[in-house]
Amino acid sequence: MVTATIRGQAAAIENYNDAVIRKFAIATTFWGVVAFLAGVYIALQLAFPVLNLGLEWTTFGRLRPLHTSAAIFAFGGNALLMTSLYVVQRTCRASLFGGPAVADFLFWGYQLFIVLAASGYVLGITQSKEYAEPEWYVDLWLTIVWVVYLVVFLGTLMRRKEPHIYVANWFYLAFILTIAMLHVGNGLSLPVSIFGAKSYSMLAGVQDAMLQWWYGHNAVGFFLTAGFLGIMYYFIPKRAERPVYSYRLSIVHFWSLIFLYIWAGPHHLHYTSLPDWAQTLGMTFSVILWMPSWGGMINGIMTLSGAWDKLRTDPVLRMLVTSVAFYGMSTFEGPVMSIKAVNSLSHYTDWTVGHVHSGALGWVAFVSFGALYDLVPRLWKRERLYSLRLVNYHFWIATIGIVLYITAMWVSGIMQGLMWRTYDELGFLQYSFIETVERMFPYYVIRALGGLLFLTGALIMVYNLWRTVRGDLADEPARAAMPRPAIRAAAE
Amino acid sequence: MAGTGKWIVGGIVSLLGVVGLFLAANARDDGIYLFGLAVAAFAVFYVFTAIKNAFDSAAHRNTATSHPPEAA
Repeated sequence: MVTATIRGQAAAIENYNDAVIRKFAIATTFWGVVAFLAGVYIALQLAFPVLNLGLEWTTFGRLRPLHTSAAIFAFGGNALLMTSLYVVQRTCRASLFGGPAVADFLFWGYQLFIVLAASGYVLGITQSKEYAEPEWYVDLWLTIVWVVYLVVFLGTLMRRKEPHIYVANWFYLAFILTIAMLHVGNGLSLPVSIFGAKSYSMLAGVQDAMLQWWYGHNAVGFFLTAGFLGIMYYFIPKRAERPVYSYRLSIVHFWSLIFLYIWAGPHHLHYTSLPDWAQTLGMTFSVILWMPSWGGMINGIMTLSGAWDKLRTDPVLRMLVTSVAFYGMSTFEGPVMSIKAVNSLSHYTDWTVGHVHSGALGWVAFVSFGALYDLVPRLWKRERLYSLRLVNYHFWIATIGIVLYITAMWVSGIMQGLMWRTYDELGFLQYSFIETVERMFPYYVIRALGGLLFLTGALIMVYNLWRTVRGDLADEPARAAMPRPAIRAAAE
Repeated sequence: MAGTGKWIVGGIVSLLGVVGLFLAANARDDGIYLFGLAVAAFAVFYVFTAIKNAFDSAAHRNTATSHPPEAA
């Protein structure tokens, strides 16, 4: 009976659609480099404005959304599609619903969305809504692709042979459903003509701002948090060969996270014309949100219980666990910055940028790198990664880059906030705005250097993954081997 | 579902491609023009790839059945 079960499982393994996962892995890596390169360039533009080149297509205003969308949707989105479609098949023991044709549409359709959005930004086509810049026709295309994604994911869940739905899939499904709701809600606009790119938002003024930041914060909460928690919940226990620390904690923090996050949007609108009650509501729920976020962090880190030595021997696991540490840091900093008194100093300053990047680089990117390093050898059926030493170099160079980035932005952000609110003895503002801009210069250079180190780490990863796909193995001392799937271990 | 899926998606994508051409032909600005052409090109690429994959699968099946398994 055991043999029959193993044979049945082996047959299920052969039916998994890994071809589309390989495509997503390549896309994630490619768009990651594009996003980091764009980030370094625009960071340098802020220090050296001559890099705007005097051309409309290369101005900071057009390249900044290119960077944010490339980082969130191109790099992050492909990472989520890659891992969610891999995890749902493995944990359900079912191949993707709809077959290879639908999966291929999902892949190429999503890449088309990215290209349409990016080309639009460079041409100046934008709705000017942060993280929702693409115009109505690109939004419609994404809606079509996203519905297909939901159908594929849900269909695979519904045809599962494993009765229990693994926790990672709860987070992935919450991410897919909520992003659909947010995208449609914030994308409500009226095109001037069906044959023209220009559209006008259904709402205006502070109502539009409220809707935008309901969307914007939940893009962070569900795209960049819930989805990537799904990655954490599969790849950390898998890599550590340990069970998740607490099933009960995963239930409690999942439901409280998805309930609370939706309310946090108004913390982007403190001291604006948004009604005070709405600002206070957003602030209160943002502070409460600290708890479920740290629940996730505890669950991720404590999964290493009984296997802490692997942090020393396995740099991929080290990267995954460090991502959770950065997640914990960012989800403490966020609620603190949501408090009105703190926000009165931090809003519109570089502290916000530093906070964003501690989450984006430290949490999102690191957990994605960890997933890529774990997945690529499996997907291309290689014995192991080309070089674990290169993973180590990537980890340390990228971590130093992140620390340079966020400390530079903390210092410049606090400095901006304090300078903007400094009065002289007569009650006039002490500093003109341009004086504060001049003071930012060294920190902008340090930030660009931090980003450059992060990009360097990513390029090391690209080389490592490319050599892995080619089947090469670096001549290195034997380390802890890549964890083997239970089916292969049992069969052998 | 796998067999039906490719016909359903292929049909929908073809339709979207035609819509794209229509949008490009009547476009008032570069954004819709490029979008329409991009969707049309995507549809051509997708359908041609689906046809290629179908013929490749058929050829693989024919090869598998025309060569009996080697005796143990």
